[in-house]
Amino acid sequence: MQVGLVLPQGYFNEFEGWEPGRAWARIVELARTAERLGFGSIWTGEHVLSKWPGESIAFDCWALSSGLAPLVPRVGLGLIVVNSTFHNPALTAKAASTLDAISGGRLTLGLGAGFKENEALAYGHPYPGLRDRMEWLSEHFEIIWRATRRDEPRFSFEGTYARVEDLANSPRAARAPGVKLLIGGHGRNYTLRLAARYCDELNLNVFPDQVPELLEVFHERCAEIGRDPATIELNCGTNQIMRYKNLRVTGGQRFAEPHELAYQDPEKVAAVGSRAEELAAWRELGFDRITAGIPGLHNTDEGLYEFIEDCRTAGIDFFDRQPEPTT
Amino acid sequence: MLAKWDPEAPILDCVTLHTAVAAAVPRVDIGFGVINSTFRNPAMTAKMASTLDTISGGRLILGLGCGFKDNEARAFGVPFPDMKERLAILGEHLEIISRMTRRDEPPFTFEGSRARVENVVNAPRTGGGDHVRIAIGGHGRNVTFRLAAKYCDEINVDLPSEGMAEAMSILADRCAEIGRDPSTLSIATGTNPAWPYPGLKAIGRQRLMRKEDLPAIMPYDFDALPPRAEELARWVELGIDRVICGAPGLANTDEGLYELLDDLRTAGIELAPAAAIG
Repeated sequence: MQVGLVLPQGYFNEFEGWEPGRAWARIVELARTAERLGFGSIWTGEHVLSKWPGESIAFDCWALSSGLAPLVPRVGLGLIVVNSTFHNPALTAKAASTLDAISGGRLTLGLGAGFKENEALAYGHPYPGLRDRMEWLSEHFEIIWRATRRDEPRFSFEGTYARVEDLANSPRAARAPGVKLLIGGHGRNYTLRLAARYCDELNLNVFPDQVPELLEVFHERCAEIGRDPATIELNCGTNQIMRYKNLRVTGGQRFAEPHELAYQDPEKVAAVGSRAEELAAWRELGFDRITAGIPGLHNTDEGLYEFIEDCRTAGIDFFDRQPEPTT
Repeated sequence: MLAKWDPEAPILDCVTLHTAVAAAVPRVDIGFGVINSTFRNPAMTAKMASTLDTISGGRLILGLGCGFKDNEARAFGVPFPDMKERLAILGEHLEIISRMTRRDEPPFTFEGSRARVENVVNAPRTGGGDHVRIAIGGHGRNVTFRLAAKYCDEINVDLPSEGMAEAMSILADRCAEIGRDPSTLSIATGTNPAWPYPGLKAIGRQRLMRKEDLPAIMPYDFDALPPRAEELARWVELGIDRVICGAPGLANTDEGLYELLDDLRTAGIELAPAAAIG
């Protein structure tokens, strides 16, 4: 099982009151520590406003990952996820191909349709209903997938939300067959179909007990288009603001109240067990990757070590799987 | 977004590329000359710029323009109205971006006919300085020069030396119109890597432009192009604040850099090597 680290970037108000240069320096330091400790990938995601009100730092995920690429030379670089409705999709493809090129093929581009209406309103983006946003995202997946596949010729696409005309994109991807794409969520009709059709990786944002049924649906979605479900990696995460039982290191992290986690059942959040138990459940379910959000990393490295202990308890010893650094 | 001659030739996204360069190259200014603002949501451009200014320790110069290649706009599915309208888009974008990247500006709402934000918060707004430096590219006297006076720290004037003195005087007028001290607006210009300056030796494998390759909006006459050192010397004489130098063939060889350094020296411009900066 691969383990990646979700870097703090301000969304959870971690950097409230920080001088921005100091926050960036801390992010770089953490990314380097994660690489040294054997995390296989580092992840950022897109929010233009912090979760809780105020004027708390929320760094741009594209700029963060692009800046980290040359400083952290070995690990995977993941975006989990970009809010695709905030960007022109052809431009997203161009940026993804560039980041993949300059990082030596380390990019995994996650795409989503956004879920924070306040961010869309503040930044002047339309925010239609969920079904429309998913249709919008579907068109973006079509454009971005085709524009970042090595063997796709130039193409035109005329959709309701996006269009391109005889679009060339060079370079397309550092590695065949294309830039790795990820989708996050658990929606049966859109998300799982888009995963089956376009993605290398599927991030399920549910509790372990909800997984078997979802995987059954996902396998049907794969069967619908003749894709082997074994060719898509299954990704799950630990949330840095989830108050798992018996966490020792909190590092000043503000945790979510049970009703404050998007798309999660408050009762399940309130009843959450220990993190090690959850990690063990992911392992038993056969997940390929954990993207770990860990509380308090803005202030201390201690959370990394507690997380690693929890992994060991859960039977996940990810150090053993990582290649030795080649400096 | 598309290479000039062959759309299948590799070309990298400037924002991604430059952010990585900023992290890897610690001392120099990090400039865009320029980003096509009409391809992007302006509030997102501001958010990106503030993060990049942070990553670079306040070294960003965010150059913005309104694009001039209709083939790029068509391919990428972006509207390409006439120049007047594109400049109007750029004007609204500059209003939003400049306010979002000033450290002491409160959250604000702007409802334009081409862009809008609502009680927008951008944190951080800068990497630490009082604002992110903004530049504009162009030579339009009525709109571009007024936008430069109103919003910018720098203007990159794409004119040959003959037209430059007059442009500088009009720029001073545009500043005076709104009560700005013209000496606070930095004037830049540049050498293009694909221009056939007479006498260039190191061109690597650069394809150089011919007359018919010159975009209509660029008022240059290749027949009257002086040697590069001479053009640089004229700019020095005119008091240009910055020359942004493209040099041919750098994809293949450093030789073009050394020839450029020679030309700069001939023109009286001496660079301080990094070792001396410490």
